[in-house]
Amino acid sequence: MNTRMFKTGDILLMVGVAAIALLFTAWQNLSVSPGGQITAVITQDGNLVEQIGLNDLKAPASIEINEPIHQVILAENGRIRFSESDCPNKICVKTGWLNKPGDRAVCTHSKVIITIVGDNKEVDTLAY
Amino acid sequence: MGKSKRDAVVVILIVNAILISLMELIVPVPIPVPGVKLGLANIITIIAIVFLDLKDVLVIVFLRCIVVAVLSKGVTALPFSLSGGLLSAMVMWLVYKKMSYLFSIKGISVIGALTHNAAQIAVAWLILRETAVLYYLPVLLISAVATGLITGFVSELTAAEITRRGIFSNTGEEPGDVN
Repeated sequence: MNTRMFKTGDILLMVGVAAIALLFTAWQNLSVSPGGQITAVITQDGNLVEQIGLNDLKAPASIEINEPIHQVILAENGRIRFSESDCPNKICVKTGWLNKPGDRAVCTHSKVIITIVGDNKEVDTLAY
Repeated sequence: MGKSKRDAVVVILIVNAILISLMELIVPVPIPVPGVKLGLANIITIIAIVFLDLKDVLVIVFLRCIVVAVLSKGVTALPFSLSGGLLSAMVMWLVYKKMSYLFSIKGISVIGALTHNAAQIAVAWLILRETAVLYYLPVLLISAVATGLITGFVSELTAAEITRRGIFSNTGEEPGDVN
C-alpha cells in the first residue's frame, strides 16, 4: 500500500466537491440583491409565529417566546436579533443582528428560526 | 483471523473509537465554524473496514455512537450521529470493496465525511422541516474534504503499519480455537 499517493478518483472527487461548494456559494450571493423592502419571518417548528416589516419600524419591538424555553427577539428599524435565550449554547444570540435578505438565526433547541426575506422573488423561492 | 481473535479486535476497536471520540470533545479544535469537527473516530471505522467485515464495522459504529451520546452530547444528538455514522460506514465499505482501483483510503475517507455531513443535513431537515439547513452545505462540503483528508491520511498509515507488522493476521496459537 503506497501511503503517499493519490489515485485519480481522489483528485477528481476533491476538485469536484470544491467546485460544487464554490458554485453554490456564488449562486447564493448573486441571487440576493441588497436594498428594497425586508421582512423578518419568525417560525417555530415550521409554523409562522410572526412576520414583521423591518423598513417601517418606528420604535424597537420585542417578541417573547415562552415555550419550550424563554427567548426574547428584538426588532429595530432594518434589523432583528435574538437578544435573550435560555438555551444551553446560545448560538442564536451569538448570531447577532440580521439585516439582509437570506440572513437567518436558528435555535435548534426551541426550533425557532428568524429569516429575513426581501422583496426579490428569487430570494423567496430560494428560502422556501 | 479466528473467531475469538476477531471478537477481541472488535472490542478493542469499539473501546478505541469511544476514547478517541471523547478525547476529541475535550480538546478544543480551533475552527471558527460551529458544527465542524475532525471526526477522528472515523479512523477506527476505516481500520475496521479494511480488516473486518461489514457486520463488525456496523457494530463498532453503532456502539460507539450510543456510548458517546449517553456519556457526552445527550440522546438528542443520537439521531444525528447514528445516521451519519452508519450511512458513511456503509458507503465507505462499498467504495472500499468495489472501487479501490479508483480511490485510495484518503479518498474513501473524504467520501465518508461527505456522506456523514449529507446524512446530518438530511436529519436536520427532517427535524427542523426547514430548507434553511441547506445554507450550511458549502461549509460542510469543504470541511468534509479537509477533515476527511486528515483522518484518511492517519487511517492509511495505521492500516499499512498494522498490515506490515501482521498484528491482525492469524499467526500464533489462539486459545479459543485449540479444540
